[in-house]
Amino acid sequence: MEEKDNIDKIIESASRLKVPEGRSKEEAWNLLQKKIELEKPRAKTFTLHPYLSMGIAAGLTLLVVAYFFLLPGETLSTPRGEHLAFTLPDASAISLNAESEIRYHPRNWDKNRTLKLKGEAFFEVTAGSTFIVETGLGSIEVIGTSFNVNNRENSFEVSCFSGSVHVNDKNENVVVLKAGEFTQLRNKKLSFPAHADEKKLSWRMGEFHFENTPFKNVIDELERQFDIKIEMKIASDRMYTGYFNTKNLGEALQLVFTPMGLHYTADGKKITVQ
Amino acid sequence: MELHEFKDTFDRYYHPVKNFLYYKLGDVALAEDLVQEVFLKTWEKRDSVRLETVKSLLYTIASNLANNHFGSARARFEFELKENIPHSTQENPQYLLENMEFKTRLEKALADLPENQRTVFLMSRMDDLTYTEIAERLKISVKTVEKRMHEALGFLRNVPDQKI
Repeated sequence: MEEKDNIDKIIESASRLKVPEGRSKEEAWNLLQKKIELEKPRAKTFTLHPYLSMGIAAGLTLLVVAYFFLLPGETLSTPRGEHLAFTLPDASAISLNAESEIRYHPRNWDKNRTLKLKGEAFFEVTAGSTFIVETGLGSIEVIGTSFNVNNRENSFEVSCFSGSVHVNDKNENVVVLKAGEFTQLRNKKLSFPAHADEKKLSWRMGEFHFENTPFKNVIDELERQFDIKIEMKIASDRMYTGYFNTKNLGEALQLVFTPMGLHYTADGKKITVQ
Repeated sequence: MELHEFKDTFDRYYHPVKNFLYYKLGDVALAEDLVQEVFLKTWEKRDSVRLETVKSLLYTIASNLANNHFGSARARFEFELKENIPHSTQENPQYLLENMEFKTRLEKALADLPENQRTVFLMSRMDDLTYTEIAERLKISVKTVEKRMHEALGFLRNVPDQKI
């Protein structure tokens, strides 16, 4: 009985005790305030509505999926009057002529060396897996080589300068080019390999050589290289053999039109020919 | 949560949370360090903290911090006497002696009491919290609070009546 009394006293005495104090509440607050002031400024966080955040997550997932499977990947293009030289992730080099475009996937480039080309480009391909250039009129497959592709409107020309390339048209016809050979699409067929003129590459130095080329193609090239508009008052379905370079517009116009017996007047970027 | 709301929260819950940490750990210095951390963490979360739930957040943080320190040192309870002891009794030497004796016995017993029983017992007896309030702060049911109180009292009853 006495023991029970004692314990009740113990329990009761608990309410007469207090927790010891190392520092007072005021000291504790001052200390806390100092720590708060030391706190680094941080980015504001927002609490989103759960459905909204789910929606955002779903949207992001879709974008990532689209990025890998649907989107055309990286696009490099040149406007009129500009050339572009660049290097692919595998160190293959590309020179892109004016008003041309290349699309490829840099992400999985080492696994799938396939790109799409519009216009004209010169390729120096690092040896590796099959390297494929697709154009609207045919494709070229190579392992490691250098070659030039010209795909403008209805023209599709490939010149091979080292190694060898497989050129496919849209009808599954294949022409194999060795170094120094050239083929082009004519009457919807790839021509038998012929000698590839080094002049096919001179566009990279701003020099354009033509041999028995439809005059319209020459006009197109002038417009492309100088970013000008040429208005032909007279139709010409003649062929042109000659040369111009991109150093000087007046000189280039003379070199193209004078041999053809044509007069032109220049008004800024607009050239009228009669 | 704005600074003035944070200050109000601090004023209301500093002692209860510090005491809670002390009941769990039996180390004043550690409890005071941890209670600083509790409020600092709460301030860092201020953008997502709602005043209605801040109390339970404080105890949750405190509880987690304390759990990291279990076993680091043996709980030692050395309580202080409240100052507002009635004058008449204060002058009674017999009463004071008894009081000291009970205090020492209680402190020894508390150190041996399982942590969860001790915390509930002291929150009830020293902080005068109701079972409902304790249950709310510890995120346990009122039934559990009652059970732990019962166990704590049973434990204290079996403390051998030893002389100092």
